[in-house]
Formats: sequence, structure tokens, C-alpha cells
Amino acid sequence: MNRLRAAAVILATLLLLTLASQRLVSDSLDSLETGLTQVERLCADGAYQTAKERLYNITQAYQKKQAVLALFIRRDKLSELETSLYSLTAYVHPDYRQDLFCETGRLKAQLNGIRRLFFGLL
Amino acid sequence: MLILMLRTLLVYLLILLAMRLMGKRQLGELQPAELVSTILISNLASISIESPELPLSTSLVPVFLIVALELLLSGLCFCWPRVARLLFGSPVTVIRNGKICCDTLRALRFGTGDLLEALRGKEVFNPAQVRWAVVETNGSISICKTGEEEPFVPVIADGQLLKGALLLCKKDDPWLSQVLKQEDCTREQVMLLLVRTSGEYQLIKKENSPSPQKRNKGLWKGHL
Repeated sequence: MNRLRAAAVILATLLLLTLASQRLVSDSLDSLETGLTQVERLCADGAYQTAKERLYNITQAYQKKQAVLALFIRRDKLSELETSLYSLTAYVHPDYRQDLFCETGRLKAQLNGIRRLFFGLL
Repeated sequence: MLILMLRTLLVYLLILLAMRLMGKRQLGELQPAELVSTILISNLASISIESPELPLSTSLVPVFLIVALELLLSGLCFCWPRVARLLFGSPVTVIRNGKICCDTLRALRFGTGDLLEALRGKEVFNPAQVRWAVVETNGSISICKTGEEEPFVPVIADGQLLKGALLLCKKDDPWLSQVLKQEDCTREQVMLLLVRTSGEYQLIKKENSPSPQKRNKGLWKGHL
């Protein structure tokens, strides 16, 4: 019967881990997506300096969470996302507005891919 | 390389813990559910060793989920023998008094060649030498040769009357009631009742079972 207790503990731990991971991944991806939309809006309004600062903040926040996210998501996908986030700063300039929108669109598609990878059942 | 070694070490230790949790049953001959979980665990364990880009949780979470389910399932089977019968089936007699039960063999999809091979494994080359042969739930065969002492048939196990057992030892319900009355106990109080066709029986009551074994400096000592 001790083993049954161990099974119950394992199941409870796994359940907690699953709930925590769902929350962490969902929150991280949502905040990234919201941040990117804000950057797009700021650039559309011509506030490039504020957009750069916002992008810097997003990248820093993502880097902090990356170690924990790596417990649940493939490392190669996380690295791709980080590279894309870094390269985005170069496009925050009036001359590259269309390129920035294209890149943010690509990043959002990447985020959706990760979301499907983590939350998709089939 | 160091990370790979550490990951392998971690996976090895955790799988060892998982197998230890599943108990000794897992290390002997396997039941179907145990075989499935062992195969799945070995495959899942290799995933995180082979693919460093994948998080350890990819293989460890499913492994421990399987271990927990396996433990719960064995607990369920222990509490409700019907669940065990549903999941693992029941032992089936294939030879009785030297005669092969052809219908049973067909139902088991066990060819005569398979039966002879299993008998040869038990150093029996002629089915007529077999008094009783049973295919166990794990697929292995247990035999009692003619000339050997007649085997006991389990009739009650854990307070539950085993289906068809009375018929097998040529006894009936009134005989069982008489035995229980003679031993001054109810069916629920019986841990094990073994019966021979001759009428000889062995009854072990639940209160007479030894106390749980205690570990003593690595040795197991039973206290009666």
C-alpha cells in the first residue's frame, strides 16, 4: 500500500507540473505576442525610440524565462525565437517599417508554432 | 558531452527508481500490462538521451505517469480480483489426465506444436505423461506429471470463490459449506483454500498469515 501512496504522490506531482507548465508557457507566449503587437503599433505611430525600448524589455523578459521554458519546450525552437527577437531591433527604423511588420508577422507565426507544439493534442 | 553524460546518468537513476517502485513483479515474467509499460518506458527513456535538444520532461513525465498508472492498476487488481481477471485473464487448463483440451488450445490460439514445445521446456516429451497442465496468465505453462503427487486446486483466494475451481476438483457448494462450517469460518475469512479431488484440503485463514516482513540490515526476516 506504500506503493499506492507513492503512485498518488507521483500523479499529484505530475498534475501540478502540468498545470504549472501550461500556465508558464501560455503566459510567456501571450506576453511575447502582446509585446510584439505593441511594438507594431508604436512603429505605426512613429514612436520608434519607445518601440526600441519596448522590444529591449521583451527580449530581456524572454531571456529570463528561457531557462524555465527549456524544461518544457524544445531548446532549438527557443533559440530560433531568441535569434528572431534579437534581429527585430535592426528593423525599428522609419526606412524598414514594412520589413519590421513582415518580421513581427514571422515571429508571431513562430509563436503559434510553439503554441501548437506544446498545446496541440494530435 | 558532459551534459549528455549527466542526462544519461539522470535518466538511468530515475528509470532505476521507477523500476524499483514497480516492484519485483516487473523483473520476473511479465503480465501483458507490465510488458507494455516496460517496452514504453525503455523507449521513452532513450528519447531524452538520443535528443539533447528535447527537454528531460519529454521522457520523464510520461515514464512516471506510466509508473503511477501501473502501480494504481496493480492496487486496483489487488482490491478487485475481477479487474485482474479482466486485464490479465485467468489460468487455463490445457491438459487433464494426459488428454489435450483441443477447444481450449484453439481459443488460446496455441498450436499443438507450441504446446509440445512448452512441454519440452518442462522436460516432458509425451503429453500422456502429464496429469495436469495449465497455461498461466503470463503465457508460461505449469505442469504436474502423472506419478507425482496430485496438485492442490485453489478454490478460494483472498475470500473470493474462484470460478470453476470446485468443478475442477470434483466438489460442490454443499461440500464447501461443510468445510467452512468444520473450520468455523466464513468464506471472507479464508485467505487460501486448496483442495484435491480426493477431498484433502488446506485452509489458511486471514488472521493466521505472518506479520509483514521487516528489513534488518539488508536481510528480510519473516516473523510468524
